[in-house]
Amino acid sequence: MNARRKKSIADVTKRKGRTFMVVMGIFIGVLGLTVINFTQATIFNAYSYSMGSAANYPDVYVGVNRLVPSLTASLAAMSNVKAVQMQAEADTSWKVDSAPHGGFAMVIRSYPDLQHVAITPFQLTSGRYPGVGEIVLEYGDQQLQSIAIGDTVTVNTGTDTTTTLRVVGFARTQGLASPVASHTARGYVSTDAFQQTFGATVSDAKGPQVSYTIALKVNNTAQKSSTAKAVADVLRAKQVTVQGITYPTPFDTAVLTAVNGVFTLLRVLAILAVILSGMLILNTIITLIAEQTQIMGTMKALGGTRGSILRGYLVSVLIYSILGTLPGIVLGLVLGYPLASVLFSNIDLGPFTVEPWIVALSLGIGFSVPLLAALLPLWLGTRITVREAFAAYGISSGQGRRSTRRASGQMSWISQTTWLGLRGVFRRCGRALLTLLTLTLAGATFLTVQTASASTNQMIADITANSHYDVKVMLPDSTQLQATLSQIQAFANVKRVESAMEDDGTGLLTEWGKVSLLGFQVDTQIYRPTILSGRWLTANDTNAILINEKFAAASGLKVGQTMLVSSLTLTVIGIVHQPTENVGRIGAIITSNDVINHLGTAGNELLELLVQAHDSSTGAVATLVNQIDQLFNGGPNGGPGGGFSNVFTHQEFIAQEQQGFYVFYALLYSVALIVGGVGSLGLANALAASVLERKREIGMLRSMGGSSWRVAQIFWVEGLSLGSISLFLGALVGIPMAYAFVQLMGKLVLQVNFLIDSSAFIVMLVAVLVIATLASIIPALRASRIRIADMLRYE
Amino acid sequence: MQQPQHTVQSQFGQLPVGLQMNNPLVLVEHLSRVIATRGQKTTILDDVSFSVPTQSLFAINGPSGSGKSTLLNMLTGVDRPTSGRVVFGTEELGIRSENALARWRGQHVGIIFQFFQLVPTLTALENVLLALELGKGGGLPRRAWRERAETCLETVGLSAFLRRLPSELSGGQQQRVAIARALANNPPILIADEPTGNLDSRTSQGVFGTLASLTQQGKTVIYVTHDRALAALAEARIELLDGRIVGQQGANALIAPAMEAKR
Repeated sequence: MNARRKKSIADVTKRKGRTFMVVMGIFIGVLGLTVINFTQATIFNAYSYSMGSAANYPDVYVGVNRLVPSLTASLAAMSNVKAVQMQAEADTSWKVDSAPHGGFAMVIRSYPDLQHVAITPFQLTSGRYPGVGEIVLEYGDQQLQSIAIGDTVTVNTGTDTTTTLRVVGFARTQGLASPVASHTARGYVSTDAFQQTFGATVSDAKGPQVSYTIALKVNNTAQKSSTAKAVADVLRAKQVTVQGITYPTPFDTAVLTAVNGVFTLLRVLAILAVILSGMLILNTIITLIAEQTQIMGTMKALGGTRGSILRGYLVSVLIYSILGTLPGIVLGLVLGYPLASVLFSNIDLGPFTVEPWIVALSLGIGFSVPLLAALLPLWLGTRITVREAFAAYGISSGQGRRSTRRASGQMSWISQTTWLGLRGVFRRCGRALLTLLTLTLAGATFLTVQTASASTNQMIADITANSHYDVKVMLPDSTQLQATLSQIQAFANVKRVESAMEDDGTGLLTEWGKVSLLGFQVDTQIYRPTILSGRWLTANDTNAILINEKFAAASGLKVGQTMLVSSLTLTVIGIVHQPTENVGRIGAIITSNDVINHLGTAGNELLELLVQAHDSSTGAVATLVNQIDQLFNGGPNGGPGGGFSNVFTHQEFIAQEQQGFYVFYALLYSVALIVGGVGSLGLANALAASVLERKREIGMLRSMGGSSWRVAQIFWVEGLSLGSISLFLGALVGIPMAYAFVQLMGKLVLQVNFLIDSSAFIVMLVAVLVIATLASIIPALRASRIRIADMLRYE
Repeated sequence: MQQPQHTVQSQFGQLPVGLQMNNPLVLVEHLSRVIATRGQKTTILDDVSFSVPTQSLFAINGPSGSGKSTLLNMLTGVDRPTSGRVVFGTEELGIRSENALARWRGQHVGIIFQFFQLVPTLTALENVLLALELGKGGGLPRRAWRERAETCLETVGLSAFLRRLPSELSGGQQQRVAIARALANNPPILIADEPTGNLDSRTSQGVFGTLASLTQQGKTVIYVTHDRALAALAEARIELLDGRIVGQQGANALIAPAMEAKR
């Protein structure tokens, strides 16, 4: 190895502290970017796989009494029919003694040809296709219950009968909601196995529900209705009874768009972290050049040209990049998948796969940012002449700033060591400004993240603020509505029970976009929104609605105006303050339960009972919840389609809504932590350099009797000063930055009102104190332990 | 101190006879260096002219602030004169870029600094190799550089210390490494700035002896010193005071008139 290469490596290995800080800066930046990109790609791919694509979404379901596979070809040949899929399905339950409520809801499906499913195929990820007495489970079922190939599952085949099926494989089905999210397992069996298992099953309220369906994909969705009718006619002609025709809700990309939006926001923050890493490197290189000025002069005296000297330092930068980038990428990939699992536990992520662009981008950033950051200071620094390099170096000229000298004279009650610290702040203007910029950005980022989460939290609180219930009961359908309502009303602690309807996530399509739908009793006393204009519903109203302010702004509708939805003319009688958190929605419509029934969207609404208690204490409400829960017994938490609790306290409901955003908060704060980490490294780097440059000063102070703590105090004051200035600047920059971020969030994810959380400033202040203390005290104490003679020796 | 008797006309004015007739290695003609800062002008060197004989041990002597180091910087191209010129052999340093000066230094001049200026993270051998890499090896092929470096260190008596870092060497040993480094590219001239200024007397003698012996190997050695006794050991020398030559021996130097009158 030649001497120059050896020197480049030695510059990295000999200054371990500096190397550590620079490498950590690059590492953190690359790690953050890699984790965010990989987690986003994993989640996005999983979500899009989970939600499927339009191609995997049937347009029509025709319910029949039996399947005739031989009709598939002739049906597929019909006009406007793109694909035909015959399927048998059993909505049953999977008995697991250790599971809550004794098991999980389960959908078992069968196709005539499991290997060639036309519209919603599944991919075998392990094992083989099932035969008689066997089953292939959905990959995500393993998140409900630990199970492996070779194990058996026990399923209900009747009210009191079960059967056992052996697991022979696992599969992934695009477009299928995660079993954890839907609380429903999925399995596939052969036609023969289905007949053997469920052939004798009689569908009833508490036992399995068996259905036979023909799913259709059409070429022209505008003609799907006529196509469905034509298919039904053909089936009837073949003595197949048509039990009903349904049209699934069109494929909705709103959630995918929102997920993408979240990660776009995070990527913005991650890019900030990378920029800060670049600034850290810039600062480090400037310090390195300052340290090596005389060595550069020596090399030039020996015949070294600017280019050869520059290349030597670039090799050091390359080493920093390698040390920081490669572990950052590896750890980012290692952490990204489990992070995605933890953050989005309700979707099936599928197997671990890394898209090449993620690695390529991180490599590119990890090597190019340090190089670009180092290039300018190196180019300028190596411009130094031999004479300049050997000019006086070490203790600052002592010129000082007149302003500080005047101030120190007037404020003599401030100790000289404190003044030494204050004077040191801008001793190296360029470096100080760079450090301030780094810390300011870090502080501003933290404030931005804090504001975004505070604003979102407030919105969630606002959403439920209008509803004054203690317990909410979700009902599977309306058949038990009156009976359940009466039963609950009879409980001692119940003050009032009202029925209500809530959007199940499908929404209502209007000419301006999709809106959320909320239904209440006209005489509600539980739902009390702030009416901004107009009035609440009365019993005499026909097709009357209220809209929230967001929908009013988007549509331009005013009180008294009408809108046409599903052939129904709705009259706006009021505008209310009612926030909604559903992504992709332009607002909300609040109306009576009857109007929702008239709209024909009742099938897409969640029916619920809102219960107000006399005694709202935690214990009393918990007792009430148990009483209500007891009403729903038999099978896994209420029979087919259960497997989840349908009774919530108000707090539980809020927590559940907030939980959906915990992911978002966790990601935001993770990135803020990354940005803050790099900012802290920047300060530590600057202070370490300051200590290094002022070793002779330290030596003199100690030779005059200064203790180690006294010396450390100088640098602590310097660190604290830098931190305080950046705190102020961070707040100044952070507020508009937070506002812009919340606006961007509104465009990409979800609109919330801008709210500054004042506690963020206190947290920032504490953080500045801690970081400045740690960053300055440690290097200063280390310097104060060096022998005085070594510090004072002229190099 | 000898004084020139005759002068000849050159494009730079009257020059002492002998400046051209002795084929000196280095010729300095009417060199001046003036520094202007904040409206004030400071004359560091004032019309200095002299020559350095080939293969001589040449001293530049003077008290602190006399301009010795500045003069040295002019000779090595580290600094540029305000007026006048420096001629090395037949080559005038002239106006060159920093890179060009660096390349020239690497091949023609070996510099020895008062404070050694060794790269602290490289061993003695590597410090000498660094000079070979930067100075293009003095015409030797790359594969011969290592041997050359070892030879240079052997010349200064440090063959047993090749793999020591500067921090593991004494002051005298470090200075010897610096001398070996200066010899690495086989330059015709070595220039030392207070080579023994940082050493004790015993070590100084040893180091100086090493330097002096190099003239027998065909080198011309110029050294700056404030020590009159050390300066007296030179074959030729000039004495500076307040930026002017006030005395010389064997240097064909122009003595400053005012100083001459004082005498």
